[in-house]
Amino acid sequence: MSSEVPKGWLPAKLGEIAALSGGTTPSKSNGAYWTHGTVPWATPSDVTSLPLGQTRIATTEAQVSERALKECSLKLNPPNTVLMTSRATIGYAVINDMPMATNQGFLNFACSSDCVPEFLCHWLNAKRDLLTAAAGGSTFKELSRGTAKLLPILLPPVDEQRRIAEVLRSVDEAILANRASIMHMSRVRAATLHAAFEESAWEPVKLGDLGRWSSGGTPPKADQSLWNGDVPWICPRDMKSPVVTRAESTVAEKAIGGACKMVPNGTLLLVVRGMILAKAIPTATTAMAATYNQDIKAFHPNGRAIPKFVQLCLQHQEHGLLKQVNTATHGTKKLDAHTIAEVEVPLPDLPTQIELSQTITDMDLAMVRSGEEHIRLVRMKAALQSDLLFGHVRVPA
Amino acid sequence: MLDKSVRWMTLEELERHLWQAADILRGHVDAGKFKDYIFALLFYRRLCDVWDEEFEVLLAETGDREEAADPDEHRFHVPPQHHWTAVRKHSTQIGQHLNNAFAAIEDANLRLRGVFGDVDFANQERFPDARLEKLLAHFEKHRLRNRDVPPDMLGDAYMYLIEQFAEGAGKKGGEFYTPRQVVKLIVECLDPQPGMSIYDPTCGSGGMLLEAVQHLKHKGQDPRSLSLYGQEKELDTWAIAQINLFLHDIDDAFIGKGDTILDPKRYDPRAQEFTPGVGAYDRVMANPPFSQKVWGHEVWVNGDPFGRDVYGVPPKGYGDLAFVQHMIASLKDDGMLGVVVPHGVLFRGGAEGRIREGMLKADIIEAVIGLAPNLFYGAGIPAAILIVRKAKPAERKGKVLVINGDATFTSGKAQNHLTDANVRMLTDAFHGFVDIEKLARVVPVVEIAANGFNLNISRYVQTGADAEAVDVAAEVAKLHDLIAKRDEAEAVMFGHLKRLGYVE
Repeated sequence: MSSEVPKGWLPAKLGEIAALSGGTTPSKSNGAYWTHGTVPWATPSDVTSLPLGQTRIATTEAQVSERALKECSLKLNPPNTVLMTSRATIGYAVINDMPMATNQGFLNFACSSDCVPEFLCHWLNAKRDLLTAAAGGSTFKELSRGTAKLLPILLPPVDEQRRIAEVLRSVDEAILANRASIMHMSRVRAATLHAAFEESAWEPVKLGDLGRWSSGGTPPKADQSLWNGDVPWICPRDMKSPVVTRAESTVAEKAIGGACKMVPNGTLLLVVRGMILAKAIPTATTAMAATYNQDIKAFHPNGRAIPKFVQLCLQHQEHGLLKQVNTATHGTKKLDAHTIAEVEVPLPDLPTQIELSQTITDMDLAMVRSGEEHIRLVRMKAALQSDLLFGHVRVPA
Repeated sequence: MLDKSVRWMTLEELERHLWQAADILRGHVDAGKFKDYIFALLFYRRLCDVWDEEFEVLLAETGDREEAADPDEHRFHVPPQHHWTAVRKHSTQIGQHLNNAFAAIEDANLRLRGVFGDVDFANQERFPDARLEKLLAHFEKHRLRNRDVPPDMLGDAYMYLIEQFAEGAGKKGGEFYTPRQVVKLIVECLDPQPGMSIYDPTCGSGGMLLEAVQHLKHKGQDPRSLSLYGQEKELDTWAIAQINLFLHDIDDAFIGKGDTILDPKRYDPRAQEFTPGVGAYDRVMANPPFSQKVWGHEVWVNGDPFGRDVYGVPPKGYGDLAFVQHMIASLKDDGMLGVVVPHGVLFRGGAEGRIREGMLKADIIEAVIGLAPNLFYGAGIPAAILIVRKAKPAERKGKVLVINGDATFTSGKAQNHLTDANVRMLTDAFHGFVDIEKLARVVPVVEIAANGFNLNISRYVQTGADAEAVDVAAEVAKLHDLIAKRDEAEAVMFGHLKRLGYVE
């Protein structure tokens, strides 16, 4: 990386381009500082909880009273101050849209006329590693105002700062817009399932009438020759996504038999035992032939329903099923075979099942694509920041 | 003389007592049969204890032992030589003496015909005298007078025995034990008054009918003024209902045997017997088997011979609305009914949708009360209560009160339950018939009609637990909008990147 100063840019110190100040926490025991407070008062989590790509902040979780401002020498930062976390988590910067105070975990930059807040905000976020490295402190890592003031920055002319900020903002906006569409896709998915399962006039059929559910098993652990073979052996931990493509453990072919059953590609699996059932009912279809353990039941349909459709129905009913999870005497959570058999599935004809399953599969695929896009955008932004903020690539007028 | 301080036996004590009785039989009798033998003895013991209780009261009143033992002074007759204390005097052939006592008691009391079932203690190999001696001594540890045990204690005991010793733990062909608090909720909503006739077409061990008795007692009214009617298909359970009501001093209680849908029975007071038919009652309440598979579709499809299929024939595998329609047919014109149904009945389409539509158009549904999940023993399915009235009060006409009790419960270890406060909250909501945020809403029937006669509770009242977007078209439109915005944002971004030479 070149240490040359790009043409027209000026070396400066942070303390020379902005006035730095901190914040504080008014006494929590004094009700007058907090009750009916109307002044936004930021803590680091207000900043770190913002979605990636969002550089502006307008509201905070907590508010303080006017009186707290007066009596606690709490500084009210005017809009367009760069608020940066400086304690424990360091170098998360945002710009406030509203007058806002902060707690002691911030360094706040009131920019001079030479410095564009948006540019400084991007610069600080891009230099997070350097800022963290410069921080001292024993209990908390903390970047002091004194240290921060002396950190060097190469400052482009104000117009160029604005142009750089504009390019970076276009990336941020793409990230935010993509994120909003991903979030909404899951809403559409839920609404589609809701309409299908709650508002259709499909005849309800009990799950027990659609096929058989069988438990898996564990080959004897002591017999080494039964393990580490070619056959995937699925445990609940392998069922983190709706399609299982691989299992962490494998068994040998000769281990198949008895409780350790083999199911074909495309089998629906359901977790029926384990603490995960306290918060989720994992289901998955297999993308290969596999064996599975005793905490899982496999579905053997009798031809009236396709596994993917049943899986969607179970996903849709997760909220209700969670309430039916029992606790075994030793505390393990379990779903009884009886409960599973009694689950009601509104069942349309096979073509309709296939169509709905395909629609949802397509939606899932679109969500995966958008997720990948998100990752690409974030990576690109990081590369672009380093090119533009440090003058490797210039943004012409 | 009556000691009011005597404490009722708790269910735990009772269960321990029965478990120990089973221990005595273990290894000698097939576990599936435990319940028959234990129950017969339990009932015999209870009958004799209640007789003694009556005897004590009579003795205190008259001071004359002979008069106190006069069969005419008792509600039922226990021939002296077959009383528990008499049987206990024998040390040999105990089993035979027990058999004789059971037969003699059934013979002496018309209403107890069949309640002992077909248990046989006379098998000397299975029941040697020493073992029976031990068993009877065990049953003497607790007295089972009306003042020792809670009202539906035999029902509870029977459930416990089934749970412990029968296959399918607590569940018999889709029939579930109704939790007491749910029963209470229905009774409180229907608020039976003195002198009314009350009917439970699937009465099980008689818990609902007994709760009506309790309801009057609590209000200081005379429960004996009630006429109670029921029908039960399972013979064992029928026997318990018979015993339960009998022992609670309810003379006007008549429980018919048989299948309510295929073989409905009506009590004929003149003939003093049940004849085929559908009666008319002031209050009808039931917890029919959920979504019974085989209920009589093949008969109703050609028209119900008793004319109860007013709103249509329910689907083959779902008998719920057959029971509901039976209950409607059993109502007096100013009567009122409460029935437990699975949620599916509220929103399923097809034949059930048409029946629901008919009931709503006839404006007989007064309220739908959604219950919290996992309240029913052995059935996690969420249930709801329908309150039906043929002639609703004027101010309730054209409206249905929807109550969402999804969040009104107290969570327990294995299952949830309703506390007295929970029950009160729901009954107050019912009687109030006004909107209560996150709990109840008065919904015009026209609104339900606009929703395709769908009565799905969360559609009308959201407790906040699971509010969900339902308008797919609107959500999809918004998604298109968002994707367009994203594409626009990316176009702007690519414009910049192109200018900087990153693209092409």
